[in-house]
Amino acid sequence: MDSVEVRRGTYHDSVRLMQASRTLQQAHGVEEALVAMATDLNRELLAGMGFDVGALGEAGPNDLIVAVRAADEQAVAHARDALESALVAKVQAGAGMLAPPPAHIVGSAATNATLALISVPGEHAFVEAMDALAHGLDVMVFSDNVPIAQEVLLKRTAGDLGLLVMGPDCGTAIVNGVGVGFANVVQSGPVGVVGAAGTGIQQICSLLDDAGVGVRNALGTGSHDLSTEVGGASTLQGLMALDADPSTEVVVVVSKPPAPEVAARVRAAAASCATPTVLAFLGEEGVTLEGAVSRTLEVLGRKPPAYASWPAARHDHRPGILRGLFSGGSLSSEAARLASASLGEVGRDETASGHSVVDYGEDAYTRGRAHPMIDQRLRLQRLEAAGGDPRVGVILLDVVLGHGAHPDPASELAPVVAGATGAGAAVVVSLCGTKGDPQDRDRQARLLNEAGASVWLSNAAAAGQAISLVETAGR
Amino acid sequence: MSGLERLLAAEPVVVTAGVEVLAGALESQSVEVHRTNWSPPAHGTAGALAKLASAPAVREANQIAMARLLAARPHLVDVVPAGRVVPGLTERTFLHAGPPLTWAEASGPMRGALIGAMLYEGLAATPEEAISNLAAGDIDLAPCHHHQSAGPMAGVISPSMPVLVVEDADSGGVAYSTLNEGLGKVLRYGAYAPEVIERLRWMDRVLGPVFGDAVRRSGPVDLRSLIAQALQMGDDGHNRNRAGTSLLLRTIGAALVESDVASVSDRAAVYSFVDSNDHFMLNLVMAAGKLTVDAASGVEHSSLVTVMARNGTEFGIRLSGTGDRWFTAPAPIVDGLFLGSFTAADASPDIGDSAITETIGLGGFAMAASPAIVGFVGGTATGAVQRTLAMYEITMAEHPSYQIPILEFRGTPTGIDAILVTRTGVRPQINTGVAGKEPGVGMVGAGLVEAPMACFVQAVNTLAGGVAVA
Amino acid sequence: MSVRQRQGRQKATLASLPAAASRGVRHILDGPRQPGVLLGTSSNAAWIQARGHVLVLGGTNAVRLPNGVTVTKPAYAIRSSAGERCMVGEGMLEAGNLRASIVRWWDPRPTLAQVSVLSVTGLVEEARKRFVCVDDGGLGEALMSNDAGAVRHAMCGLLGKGEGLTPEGDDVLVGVLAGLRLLGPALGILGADGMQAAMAPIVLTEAPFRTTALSAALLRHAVAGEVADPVAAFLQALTGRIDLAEAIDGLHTMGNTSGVATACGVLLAAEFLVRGSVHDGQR
Repeated sequence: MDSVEVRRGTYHDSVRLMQASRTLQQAHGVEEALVAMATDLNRELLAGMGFDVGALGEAGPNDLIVAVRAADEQAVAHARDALESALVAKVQAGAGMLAPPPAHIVGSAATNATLALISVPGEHAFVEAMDALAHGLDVMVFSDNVPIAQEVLLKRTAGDLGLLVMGPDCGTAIVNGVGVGFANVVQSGPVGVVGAAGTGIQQICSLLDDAGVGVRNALGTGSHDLSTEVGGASTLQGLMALDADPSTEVVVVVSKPPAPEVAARVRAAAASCATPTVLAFLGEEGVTLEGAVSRTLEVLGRKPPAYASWPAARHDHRPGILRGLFSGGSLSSEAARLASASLGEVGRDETASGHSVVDYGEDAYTRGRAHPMIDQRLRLQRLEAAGGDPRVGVILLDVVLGHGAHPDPASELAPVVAGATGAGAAVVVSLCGTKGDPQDRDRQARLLNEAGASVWLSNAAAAGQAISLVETAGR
Repeated sequence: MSGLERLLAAEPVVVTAGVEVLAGALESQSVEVHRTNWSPPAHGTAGALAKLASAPAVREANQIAMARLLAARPHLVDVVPAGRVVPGLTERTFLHAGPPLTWAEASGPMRGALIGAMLYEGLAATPEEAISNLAAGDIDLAPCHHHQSAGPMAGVISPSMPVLVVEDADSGGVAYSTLNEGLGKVLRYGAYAPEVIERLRWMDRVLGPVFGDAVRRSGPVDLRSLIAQALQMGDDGHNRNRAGTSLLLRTIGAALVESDVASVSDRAAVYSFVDSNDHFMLNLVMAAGKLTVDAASGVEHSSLVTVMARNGTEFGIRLSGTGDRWFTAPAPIVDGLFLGSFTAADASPDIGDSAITETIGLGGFAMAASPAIVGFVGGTATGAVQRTLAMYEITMAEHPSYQIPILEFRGTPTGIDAILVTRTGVRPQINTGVAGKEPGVGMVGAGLVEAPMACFVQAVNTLAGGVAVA
Repeated sequence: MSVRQRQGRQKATLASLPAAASRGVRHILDGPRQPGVLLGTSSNAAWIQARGHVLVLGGTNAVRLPNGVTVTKPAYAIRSSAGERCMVGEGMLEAGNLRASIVRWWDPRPTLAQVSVLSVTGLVEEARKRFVCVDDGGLGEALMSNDAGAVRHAMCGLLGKGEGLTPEGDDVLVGVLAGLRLLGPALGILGADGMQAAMAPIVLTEAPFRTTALSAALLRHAVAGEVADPVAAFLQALTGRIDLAEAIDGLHTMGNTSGVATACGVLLAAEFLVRGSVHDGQR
């Protein structure tokens, strides 16, 4: 039976709701469940799941939908109970008559704070970020889908106040040794990073950490910072700040290639820095994340090491195409670039018939579901399908560890990897992580390796092996 | 430190808004995190809020408006018949509380008060005649707020009524309010029985002149100072005014004794009248409030809420930056403590200009200074403190004079920002008396009411319309 | 040992909190598990002695010390009293009912920017106008006359002189020692640690007998250039990196007079270094 309930004026953040949906789906006797705010998108989703959208009435984005399809009424009731505990908010600390009530906006909680971390829906991020700046806070805007005109104004306002805006669409940063957003646990050290590419930053930090070199600050600039409109505002600001910081000995700038005039501006700024800089515009000829790390190590007078890897025991696999299943944008772009240089055309979406490298973090794949770095279900399905698909010879995927990411991705992946390798496909994993990460990197690597995958810390190395496996198959 | 040096080298203290996962990841690194319970702004305001956030003119305008609000120094200087001083008040004009309304729209208590005023002014001999004349449009009805006045509950002001004259010598502003009739069967609750009319006549014959003489003799009464003291004695300035009334009597007491415009027994009657009416000070606070908000009005682009007022049918607000526009929504029914066997079914929708006290940091906003008020409006003493604390999030300043002892003498939350109301979803709290919906019944209870969000949504959208795109 | 293994050995009854700690005491906290003693507690701090070192466990808003461990609870309660046993090591500090699990390290030794003698001289003058300096027991004069013997004599007069957990005389010495260690390289002065090398042995041998355990620990850290956050900020201000007025405000968060007394010591060191460089014809 179907049950559709609307709770007016009840709001929860999207990640909590997805987790709640998941909890309900796993409840006994439940076939389908959706717990979400009544946005147009979710109404469509609800209809697509076969629920009666009419039951929503006038419900809008500030109202909560609880839709359950279960065996019987008892199962529905049971699911609702499970929901209540899943939605319980964190208990507020501080008791007593004089304890202030919880703040509802950034400005109300800004006393004594130094940084605002904003991850509200994109259409509301600008107002919160401007509020943060008005209270003298630096800002990280995790939210995406913020209009570019708002980003420009935000960064202009910040620049006038001597504050930095990291974002919008910035998911990764390290500030004074503290990881913000999706960030790996790295030792502190002489490298500073400025990046418009989240997993690009993560890979650079992870490789440096493996080489025994620390990163104290990694400033995310948001994916649109180096566009013509924004003009590299945060990139230039971050670059200058790291140059002036006495504890930073080398600055790495990483992004996809900027608009040409912006690239020129960044190059000029880097050239005027007293601190040595390494520019890595991924997508330019011959530029890889591992390569950028090598150049950085050279500046510090160190030789690049052989980064950690766990080669697969078996080496025979069926011939076939390359199927790349990625969660990190920069990692997938790099893999795709390297692959196409050797293998010819590499498709970037699921409709490709030949080689493909797909970024499952893209909008198209994250409607109604959390990012693949948090929720692996879609990738697990695709991995299983690829393993069972005789046209696929080599499967390449990334596993990104660190704060915010899935607590134990290898445990979920290993059985599916084993199935794929058992069926004759080769599996190569690009494992982006450090020894300090909460997921226990080496254990993750071992689990995947024992399931038959080759595991590499360097994304370029993983891609390289995958390409070579495609080329040498069947010989 | 500039933001960037601090970002790179200092220990971060992080405010989060949005997904909980990110806050948790920071805490697991032993970082101090201040979470917000963020939810989207009031429906239909997102675009306007973005526009207002990008306009520095708004912040500048609010600074100006707030400075004027907090600088006001209202003094009671006189009591005279309304017809003599209130601008625009003619023989055929009655003022009323709240936004503009017509006889047809008026609720029970408002109609009762208008009938009573007709009888009092001698413009009708019977209630039926009064009704017929009012329905025919013989009398022009106008909001008190359009005429530098404010009236509690029905708030009807007619020319013969004595009014308090409150001035600010520095800014040259002036505002008026009637004298409070007391509790029970009174005009402002819609009663118009002969005893009500008789009392009104006594007020204009004796109370007004005697009280006025005492005020003139004693010199201007500093209302800001009186209110500040009353607040520290447990008043809230809206529904609990016992201390303020007492302080007022002390202030003009000697002058009252010395006054020679009336007999001893009349003067004693005046003293007794004020003494027996714990709400007497309310009308002075309201006039002081009206003067204060008028001083802060008319600042282009300011989102300061200068008026919150109800006429028994609609709840209306005005902003400093949107000129004379009213933003209205249906007046809510107040739920609270009811007297005797009355229930919410007997209640009239919210009515009165007395919400002006909340716009200057008193009343519902100062409940933490007045925990005893919960005996009147319901709730707990802890709740009273919590309600004040909640209001800091939607106001722009802490009042320099009106301080709350239990909050370590923190100033009351003052200067409601319509932008903050729509962003936070926190609505201004007003504590208020409740009138019976049948005219003449009088007060049926008291409670707490929140200003309707719809008013603020309209106001914010209108304000944004007047702002140039950055 | 991995985090999971550590967790396996934790007793169920202790409240476990993630904590940040100073690198200056990493060798104690990451070393083998050892018993320690709770020296005392206040509303927002606890002092623990272990392996001959003193650690300070602080809550939110507690000043970060070079031997500090901080948790982000405002006023956690260590339900225990002075004299009770604690355990320190394997990434953890257990005191009373609290277990602090170290997840992050900070560097108590600030990296200062290169700066000119002229610039520092100006900022030192500015700083001197903004607070009144404490009695330095003749140390300043001794330093300016570059007389190591007189310096040692003045030091002995200052060690342990004053009231409280960190006596004022010790605070001045902390400032001088850290200032010499850190400002010398920042000014590009060769051999700047000569005077510090003459002073350090006295501190290291005499302090444990002449002053509190905590103060002796802070003096040892100062010799290594490891200081409390507000002192690090003051040093950064003297090299023009952050606003001097803000840094001086921060000093007032350190106890009653501790911050100011330490800053006085830093100024003495700066003046000594500057004079020394002028003397040697350096700029």
